[in-house]
Amino acid sequence: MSSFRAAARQTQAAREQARLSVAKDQSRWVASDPVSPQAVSAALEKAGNWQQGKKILQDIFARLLSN
Amino acid sequence: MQPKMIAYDPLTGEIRGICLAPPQVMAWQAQGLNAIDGPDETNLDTHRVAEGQVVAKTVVELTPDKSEIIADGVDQAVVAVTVLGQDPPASLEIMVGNQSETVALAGGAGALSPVSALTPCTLQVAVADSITYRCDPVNIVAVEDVQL
Repeated sequence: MSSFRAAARQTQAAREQARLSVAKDQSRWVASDPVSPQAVSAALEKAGNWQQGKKILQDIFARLLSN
Repeated sequence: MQPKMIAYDPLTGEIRGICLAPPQVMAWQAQGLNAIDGPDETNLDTHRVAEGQVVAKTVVELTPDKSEIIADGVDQAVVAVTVLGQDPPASLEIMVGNQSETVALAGGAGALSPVSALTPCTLQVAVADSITYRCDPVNIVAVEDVQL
């Protein structure tokens, strides 16, 4: 693998890690990807109305674009 | 065998460049780096400079009990931490994704807190100090919980 490709892969991996939500919960690490379909569905379902849902979708797209 | 010229950061000991020809030295010094002679086997990934001498990085092994978990918030992986060599530290900072945990070591061995996931993702576990330690990061892959 070329060093350029390896560096690009490292950068991509670092971005993915930066995007993840990782938190300690009762002495263990719990990770989640805030822009995964599962997290998006859960957030929209929790919002319960379109105005909140729209804002959540905008946040998700903003995060995706910043990546 | 011709010794290599080693450029290193005088503050951290990180090796930043290696070459066989002297002309590079002035460019290194202009960047604030120090230059010394080093053995032929010197490598950016495997060596560092401590007290003006090129030394091998301490090897750390990360060993997960499993590399794939179910993303259900329940299934979990435990990563064992082993520092090889003499005089291992009493603790070691380990990166878990974008967070860190100081793992207590006894005789060079310890374990990271268990890792779980709520959504599919790939979580990387690595040593925080990659200048002093040489360690291959490990990935814990959380996969979707498919219930048929």
